Amino acid sequence: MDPLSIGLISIALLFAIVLLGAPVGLAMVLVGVGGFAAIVGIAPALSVLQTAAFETASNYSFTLVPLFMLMGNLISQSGMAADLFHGAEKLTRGRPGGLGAAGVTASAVFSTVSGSSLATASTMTKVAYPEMRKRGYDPRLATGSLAAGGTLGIMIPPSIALLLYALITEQSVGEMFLAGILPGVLAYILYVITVFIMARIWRGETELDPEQGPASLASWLEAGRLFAPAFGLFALVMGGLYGGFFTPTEAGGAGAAFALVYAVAKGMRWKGFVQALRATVETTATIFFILIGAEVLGFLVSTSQLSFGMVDFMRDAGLGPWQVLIAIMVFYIVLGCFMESLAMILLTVPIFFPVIVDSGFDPVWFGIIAVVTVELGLISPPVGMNLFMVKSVATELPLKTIMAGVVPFILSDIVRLAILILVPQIVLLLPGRL
Amino acid sequence: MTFSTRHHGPLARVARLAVAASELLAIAAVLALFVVVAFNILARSVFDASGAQINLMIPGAVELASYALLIAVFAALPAGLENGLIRVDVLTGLLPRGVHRVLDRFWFVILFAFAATLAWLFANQVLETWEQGEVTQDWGVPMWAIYVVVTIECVAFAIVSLAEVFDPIVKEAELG
Repeated sequence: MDPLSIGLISIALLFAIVLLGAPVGLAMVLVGVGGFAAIVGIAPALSVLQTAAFETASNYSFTLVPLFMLMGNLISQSGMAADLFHGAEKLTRGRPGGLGAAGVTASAVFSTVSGSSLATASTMTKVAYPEMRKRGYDPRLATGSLAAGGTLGIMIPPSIALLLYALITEQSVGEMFLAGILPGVLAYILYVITVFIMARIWRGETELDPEQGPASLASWLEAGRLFAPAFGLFALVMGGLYGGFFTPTEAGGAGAAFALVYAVAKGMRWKGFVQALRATVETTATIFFILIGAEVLGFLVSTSQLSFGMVDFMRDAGLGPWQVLIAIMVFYIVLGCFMESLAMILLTVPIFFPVIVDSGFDPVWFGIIAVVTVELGLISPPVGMNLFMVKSVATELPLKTIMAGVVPFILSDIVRLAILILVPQIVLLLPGRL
Repeated sequence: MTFSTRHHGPLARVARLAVAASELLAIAAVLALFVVVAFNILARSVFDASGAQINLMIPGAVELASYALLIAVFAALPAGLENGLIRVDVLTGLLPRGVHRVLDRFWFVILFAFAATLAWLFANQVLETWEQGEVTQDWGVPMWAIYVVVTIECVAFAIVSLAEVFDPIVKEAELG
């Protein structure tokens, strides 16, 4: 059998094995080693396995992954979420949907510094959901906005998803982070608009609390005080990175140090510190297992010349670049309904990336488009993980209420995707100025 | 995944010990990585501010960070099993509970084979680097010592995987 056929069969097997419940990293290793062995022999395949495992786990470029994880886990232990919500609420009070907009605002900032969509959805729901229900918010609007708000951090730097994309495609981490800023802000604006629109359509049981007037100067100052630590962390990491003070790894280390000092100042105990470390270790295992799998799979993809085969196939089939892109995005949206977002990026990007580059698309732009599409999976029924995070707090609500609640936000994401595809300058403007 | 409270055999007890020890090692390695990187940022600030007069920077920090990551990653794997590796259960969730359980154990067998193979490959590297007298570039640490640590971590990962096949230390309910 020729290498290309082995490559194609291997990829089909990969998805079959994943669907049969194998850990994603294990499936990638199995198929990568098996396919490579079928082409060049068992001994070289084992050598590739050993090299890929050792080199990936000791790659200095990857040291920033656990450091950013640690930063996020320390922030999650610090109680910042409540401060952000109360700060945001002071700015958005006095209009229908204001509290929902506050939830989205606080989620955007918290998910940016915590780096975890799931932690944000869970934490912000604990903080904001009881208040929203007390004020008579429609449960669909309350839960939908909080589930969707948790996804915002995947785009706004420092983002683990963009970081991993940059590492596996050998793009500049700095460029990827910059590219995510405007699409992230666009997502935030569209979500807030969605909240205000849906607050008029899904009217709750009670009207606005009459004691809540529009934001005063004092409210703005208080909100600024509550937001300052999060913006300070953002400024430290991004300013340090782009000001030439930090390498990406150092930016992660500085961010983690800031988060540690802040969390301790906010009363984090030893137990909270250990929990943050344990969470970092567990996520490190999860991500690096898949990274090792991606590295092994990469050997198979290049040896079998699978990418060239796919490009030839698409040319023979008369598919243009945009048709290829749409096919990949549809695949992402479908897969995103069933698969964890980071795993999806690590699993598919090594396969699709060469095809995308060959089709003439900008790799940074594609990274943003891919992450936006993957992000949809976090709130897409039936298995969008953020839905379950919200449900774990809003236990009295049926899941279908939460699913109904996120539909307007999914539509908002689709609008954003269309805007980013039609106006790629939104993505490429800031990296172009690096 | 969380550990069940029912009685377990010797394999599960060894696996628990392996998870606890690996987790401690992984936490220590992550902390070491953090300290090396964070300290060097401060030290470099002092170095720049003093006009290169005061140099407190840790020599070979890149090497230290890299090997701290290596140790953290492999030590994290057994601990990572406790929280579950990423899987797609959309199809397996529809299967009868018994079939699901068999399939689950099958993947742990494969996971064991993977971990054991890595342990064997790294053990070979221990011997090879011992014979060649290979050392790390900056600190001159014998490479065989690093490979010994990684080999032991892979053995721990293999033990935990094997325990999941014969005497699961995670709650059955967590699996499906």
